[in-house]
Amino acid sequence: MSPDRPGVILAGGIRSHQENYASAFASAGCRLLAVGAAPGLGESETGRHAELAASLGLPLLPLDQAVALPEATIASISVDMMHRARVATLCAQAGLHLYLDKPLAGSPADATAIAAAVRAVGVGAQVFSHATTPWAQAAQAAIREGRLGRILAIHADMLMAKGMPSALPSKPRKERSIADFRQDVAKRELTDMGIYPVSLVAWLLDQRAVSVTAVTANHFFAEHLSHDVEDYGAMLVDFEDGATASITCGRVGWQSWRRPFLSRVIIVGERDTLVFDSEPAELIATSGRGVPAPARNALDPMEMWLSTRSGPRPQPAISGIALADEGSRDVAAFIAALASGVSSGIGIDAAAHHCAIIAAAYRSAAEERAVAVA
Amino acid sequence: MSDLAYLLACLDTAVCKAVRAGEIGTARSLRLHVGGGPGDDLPEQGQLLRLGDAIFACPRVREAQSGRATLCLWQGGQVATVSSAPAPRATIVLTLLGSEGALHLCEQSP
Repeated sequence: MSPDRPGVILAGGIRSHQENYASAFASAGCRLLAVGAAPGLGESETGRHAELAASLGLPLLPLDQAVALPEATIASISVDMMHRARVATLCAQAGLHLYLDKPLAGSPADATAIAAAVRAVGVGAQVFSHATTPWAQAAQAAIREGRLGRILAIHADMLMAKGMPSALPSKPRKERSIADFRQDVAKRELTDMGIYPVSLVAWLLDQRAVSVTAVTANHFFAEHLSHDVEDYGAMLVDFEDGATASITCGRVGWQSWRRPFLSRVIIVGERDTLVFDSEPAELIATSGRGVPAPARNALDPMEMWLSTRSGPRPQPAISGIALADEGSRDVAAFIAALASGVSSGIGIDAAAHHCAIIAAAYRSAAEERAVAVA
Repeated sequence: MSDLAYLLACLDTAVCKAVRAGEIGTARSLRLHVGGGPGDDLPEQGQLLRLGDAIFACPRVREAQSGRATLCLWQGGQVATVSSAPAPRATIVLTLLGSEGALHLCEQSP
């Protein structure tokens, strides 16, 4: 193979984050070789693999054949949660570097198994996260440069402003501590959204969590309630050197933010408190496009006086023009890390620990007490 | 009254008014962080939670604290995550999520 153009096999189907990762690997200059379908995925997920292959014009191969393609060096893995451990292990044992959807796995045991397989073979591995975004890198730099002093607390949020909320009854959710990660219209959001701030906070602190107190809720979506899965969660996390984190996460409805999501950290240090968020650098465009202009008054064409104003003043149309496309940054960082040996993203052992934090959070919510992180 | 205390008082008023006016539907979740310096009256956790009491209008059923952060659950399932910290400059971050919208504020003095 050409070392400049790594060959990638895709383990995952359409209507999964593999859609994003495939695009990101192609944008990073990689060659997409095939979609690899593991045995035992089930009819629906196997079908989604076939759909992705067809949409990208790639061959659909059994996974063991795909990973054996001579030009394959990377496996991008975004299969349903219950299949991640065996698919990742198969790919690692074939000698492929792994790029993995978040969270790494649906249980600490599966996450530990993946990490062990990666370590045993010595391949590179990275789990998708916000750690490689410019704003997270700026937050890490502020900590490393000592601008904040010793870190006392981090407060982090990940709010996915998508979905159509419904009027739901106001009552506390009764959580179950068992892992159940069926691919469906509704995901468990303490896992799906919570993994972002959990991984970001642990990465920024560069420490292990020791205990978690959490609550889950059904605030917004009938789909989540009918499947008995949470759409919102919040937690307090204690870290080994005494730093505290508070985390909120969830899928919170399309009306809740002006962009698809808001991710944010408030870092409290002995010297300063700084706020970093996912809001992109952008040009703000204002115009009269699509908006009726204010009525023109001949005595006051510059709109200076109250007495000449008639009715509420129309507001200009406002839109943002992004300065850069950040979509493929995490994949690009993974490719760079494979070449340099220096990772800027979330590695496999850290990701396994983050799964343990999430598992402890579910147990805490179910048992209504603080739970130690295994 | 310090600048921070004044700003918090204005915030309480504006948030409660917006909720009562139905701007965000049924209020579900509050995130509030307040930072302030020696000249500010840094609010206690209980004071921050009272904003939740006013918004959610039902009794608290569960509270947990770690450091200067508190996680609180109300009888109607509403959740608040509040925190405060001494800081060299005033900081207020608020997100109030409702069933039909949200209120957001992120203010930090220079």
